[in-house]
Amino acid sequence: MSELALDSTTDADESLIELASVVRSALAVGGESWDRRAAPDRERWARYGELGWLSLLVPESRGGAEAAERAAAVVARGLGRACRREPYVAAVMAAGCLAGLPATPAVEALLGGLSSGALLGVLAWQCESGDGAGPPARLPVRAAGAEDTRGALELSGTAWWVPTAHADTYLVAAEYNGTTLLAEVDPGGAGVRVVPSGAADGTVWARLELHQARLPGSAVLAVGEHVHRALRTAIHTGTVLCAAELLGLVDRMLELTVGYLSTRRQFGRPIGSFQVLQHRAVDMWLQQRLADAALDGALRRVCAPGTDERIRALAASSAKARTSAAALRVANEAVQLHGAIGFTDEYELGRYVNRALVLASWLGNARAHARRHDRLLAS
Amino acid sequence: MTFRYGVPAQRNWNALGDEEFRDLVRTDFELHYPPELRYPSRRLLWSEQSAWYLRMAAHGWIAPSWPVEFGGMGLAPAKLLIFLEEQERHGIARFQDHGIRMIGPVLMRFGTEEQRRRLLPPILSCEHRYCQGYSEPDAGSDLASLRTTATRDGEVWVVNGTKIWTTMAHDVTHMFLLARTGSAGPAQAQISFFLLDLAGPGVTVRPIRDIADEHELCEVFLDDVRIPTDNLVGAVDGGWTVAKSVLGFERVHLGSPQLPLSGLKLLEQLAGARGLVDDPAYRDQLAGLRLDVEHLRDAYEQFARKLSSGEPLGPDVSMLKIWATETFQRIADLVVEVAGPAGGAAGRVPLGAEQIGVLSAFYRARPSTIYGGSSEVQRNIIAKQVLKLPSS
Repeated sequence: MSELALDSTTDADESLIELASVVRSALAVGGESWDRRAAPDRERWARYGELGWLSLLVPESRGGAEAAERAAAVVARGLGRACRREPYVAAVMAAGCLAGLPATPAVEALLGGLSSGALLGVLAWQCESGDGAGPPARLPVRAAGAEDTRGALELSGTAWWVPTAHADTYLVAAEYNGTTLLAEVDPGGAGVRVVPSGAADGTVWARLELHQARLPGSAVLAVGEHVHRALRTAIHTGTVLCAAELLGLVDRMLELTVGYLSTRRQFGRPIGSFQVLQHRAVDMWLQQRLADAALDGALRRVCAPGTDERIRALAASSAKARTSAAALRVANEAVQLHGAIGFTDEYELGRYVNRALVLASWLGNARAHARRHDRLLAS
Repeated sequence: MTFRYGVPAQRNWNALGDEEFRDLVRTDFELHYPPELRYPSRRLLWSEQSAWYLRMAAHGWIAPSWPVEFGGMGLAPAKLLIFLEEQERHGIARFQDHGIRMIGPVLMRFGTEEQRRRLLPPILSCEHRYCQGYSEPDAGSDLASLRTTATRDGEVWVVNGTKIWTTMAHDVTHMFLLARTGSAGPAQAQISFFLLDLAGPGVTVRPIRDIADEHELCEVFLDDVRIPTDNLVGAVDGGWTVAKSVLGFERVHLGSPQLPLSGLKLLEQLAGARGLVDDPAYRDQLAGLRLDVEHLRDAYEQFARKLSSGEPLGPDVSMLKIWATETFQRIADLVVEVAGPAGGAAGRVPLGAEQIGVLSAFYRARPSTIYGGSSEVQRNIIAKQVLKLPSS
């Protein structure tokens, strides 16, 4: 079975096709060893930085690659297809958020570290409650202290669902005097506790507990309404990129299943010759194509010049709703069509199933985004 | 002013902004479409809607997808979608437009220059309206087993056989049909593609009553029907290629978001009338179905972009028809559920302040997964030609 037949990307853009081919050759499928609760491989992370993948959302004027969402989506899809578990989307969201802030020396230094892969940093902004879809109504952390002396600021509160416990730095969005503040928090700092929590795919999430964590003046990256705006944009972009990574998982699970159906023999014939199984495989393929179309449509709307926030929000929810549902449905069908081997830890498929469970739930699941899409349409 | 196939030269619609074009089309429809014909619950007869379509023809808007040089509007995919959406939004009834949708493109691709000059203008003027003569009593999904024959006799082909499930055959002027002209080689290599004037001798049309209590389907008997040789399109025994290309156009057309969009419209109207707009369970189902339609639209646009860049469509286009019709069915089924006790009401019934044809979507949705290649046939095609799954 040719890979081409299952690849539906309709990108006419030469540079994106080239990027897709680089991503493919850099990210082999299938060979990945798969430890549970392992920290991200930092050599590999630095390599992503060298390839320019970590700075795709950073404008060229600020040391990035100026290729934006479409290119980052190509990378995320490739990472999904190879079932790489590094927190790529989360890191790119953090860099994207910083790139939306005024270029102070502190912001630029941090951006440089994140872009090269020398530093691993992610945003912390989610409350425990809520469905996690879209920007939050309120932030879980508050900053308190004298306004005129930022050195005296302290952070308190608990940020949930932080996608990695292995970050070098956490970019905490906090409520401060009726506006928003973004601060860089050292996981080893006083009053800071990173509580790890294992995820199904073997990655380790964090709950970031802050008890009167004192901020040095240089740690406050920005204060004001524009911080919340940059955060919202980063969340919407991250949601679309997470959709792309989910689609990459779907690509590979479909490929594995079609391959298995074609080679596995029972009753003296390949099981893929049975019409019932053929039609189930077609329905998996259909979900892949719908997910591809949904992502493609969302990227077209998000990348159009002058896109307003409502369009961006609708596009993000549309893509995440479809890809989350498609990934879980394809995962379930893939296991069933493989039979018992599909449920083993040894066989490749299981890693994709576990990764699908994590990514489909992160940043809002299918139902949460369908509801949000419905609410946004009515607004 | 230059004239192409009898149609006045058009503006360059594609140069307009999307919203500007949408406003222009919407305003035209709102001003000129007969209000009593909006959202009909059945297919209208030509006599009921001819005034509107003759106006569209005179206006140069009858063939939005055809290239300008053949008398169409030459709309790019995004503009075409806007045009179709506005038609749907305003509840404009479709006419039997196989000539526009299928025969025009077939003649542009397979016809001779003589055929194009002779046959395209009457399609553009609506003087010739076509039905499709493919299915036969013993050839449904297995189309290549058809038995209608055409035998050459001097300057005519003599055709004998029976066609069935021919939509609106009693209300159109012409039929495009497949008939067996050869006897050797594979079944597909013995078939030719003809255009038939239904007014000629030997043609008998019998309408078939359906479960919606309508007469949209027909059986057509052909007894020594004579078709001039210059109404054969493509090569003798080469009709399968032409037929497949028609099916290709049809799959794109049947995969457009129009039907499910019309279903959503009815669903929301009915939910309003039944006071269910804020019901959380309904809301969840509506949200899911809306995304199903939105992603159909995204996929449709991908194929439309491919078409407009001149790329041939592969067998994967079957996904559009499957998803469009099966989504439409899910919507129609929800309409019946939301209607509650009115779920079995025939025709239009008063609900809230409105008259609503509760089952209109249901009756249009049921056959949609059967005609134009059933959902099962489409899945067979994808399994073999896209996924390359083994035969046995």
